[in-house]
Amino acid sequence: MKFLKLTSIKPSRGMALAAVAVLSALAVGATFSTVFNFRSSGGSLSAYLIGAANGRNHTCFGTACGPTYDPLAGSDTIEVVVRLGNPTNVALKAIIAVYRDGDTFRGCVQKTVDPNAYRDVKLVQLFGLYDTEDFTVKVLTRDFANKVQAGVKGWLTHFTAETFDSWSQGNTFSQNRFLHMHETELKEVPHEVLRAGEADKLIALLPDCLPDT
Amino acid sequence: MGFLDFAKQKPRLLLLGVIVASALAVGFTYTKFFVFPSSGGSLSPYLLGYYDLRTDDCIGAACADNNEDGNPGEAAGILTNRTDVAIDLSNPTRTVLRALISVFDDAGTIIACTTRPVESNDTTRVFVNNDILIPFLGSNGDGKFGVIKVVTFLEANILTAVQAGVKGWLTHYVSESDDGGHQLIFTRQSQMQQVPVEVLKRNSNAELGTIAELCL
Repeated sequence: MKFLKLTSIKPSRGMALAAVAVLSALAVGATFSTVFNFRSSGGSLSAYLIGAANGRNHTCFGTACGPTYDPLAGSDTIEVVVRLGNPTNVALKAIIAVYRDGDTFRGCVQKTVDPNAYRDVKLVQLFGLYDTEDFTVKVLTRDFANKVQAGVKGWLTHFTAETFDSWSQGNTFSQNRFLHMHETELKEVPHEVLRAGEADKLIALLPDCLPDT
Repeated sequence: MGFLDFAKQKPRLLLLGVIVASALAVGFTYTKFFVFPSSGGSLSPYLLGYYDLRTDDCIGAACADNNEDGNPGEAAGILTNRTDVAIDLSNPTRTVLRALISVFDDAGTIIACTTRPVESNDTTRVFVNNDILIPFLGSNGDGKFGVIKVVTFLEANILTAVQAGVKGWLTHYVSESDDGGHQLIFTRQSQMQQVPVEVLKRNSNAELGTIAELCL
């Protein structure tokens, strides 16, 4: 069996071409493997959206809970708002359901979201979800033929009140509160999860859903 | 060659052998729920956001009479006044684009529009109230809320060549005042969400035409 002896290789036309190709690639710039070169998805829509809502109150956070912390400097979740917008030309009905402690149904409301329209739901105002725990918000959208239909994008806004003490010049004590906010998008869940039974489960909630107002 | 004598093997090895043999016999299985094609990131020429310029005397639980002295006026002492909403558009591509930014009311009727170039590696900031509603309506947009649509075109071919290439963010600026006369600005931020280009195509040319007529 013969082994490759580099010193005995004579320059050939093929080798010269290969060398030119390598040098050209280096001169031109980056090249990309096609293995991980996926086509752009160009956005997405799902009929099933999910969000995480936190209704808990805290007397302090992290290092603020140290020996010198002020127990009045607490933060209370006072409202969580679900916001929906419809970028399609199809009117949709959204079932907005709230769960806690795993699979425990906590409340539900139905909203119509017309093309280009905006709707929101204040969860604390509607369901009284404060001073308690963490919640999962689920949104299922259907068309007016009651078929599951994607077409709504969603956001979730938390409003948190913080209380602090203040002393006026007349040495009068008072408590003041300010709001902080944070916001994220409702996450899109694959259609297959709805097909695996979740859609039936959410639609079965309809008799317990508050009507659109 | 001798065969494996299972009787002589230790229990742990036997268990491992059974697991491997079972896997090879049956084959590995994958749940259908988690088999999705990777998108490898995405770009869309159609972005959706929202704006909320409403003012509240109180929000949620803050509206309840839960102050220590039982005075509902103090308990509800959080006035939130939405001052403006910023739209940030960034272009990570090497193509100069033109963004048509349209603002709708909550019922879905277009009420205002503006346009901005978004150059390569550029970030363009547009305020919904100051830059779109006030110039367009001639009055402050206080109390209004609804969706925002951004559609991007090639700068060289506005209205003939829809082109993806812009990512977007939304920032709500909220001014708050308490009974003590303090006033502060707080913010929250989220993303403009990407809508598939197929939705834009199905929404008909009429809507794009209306947006263009208002914007340009």
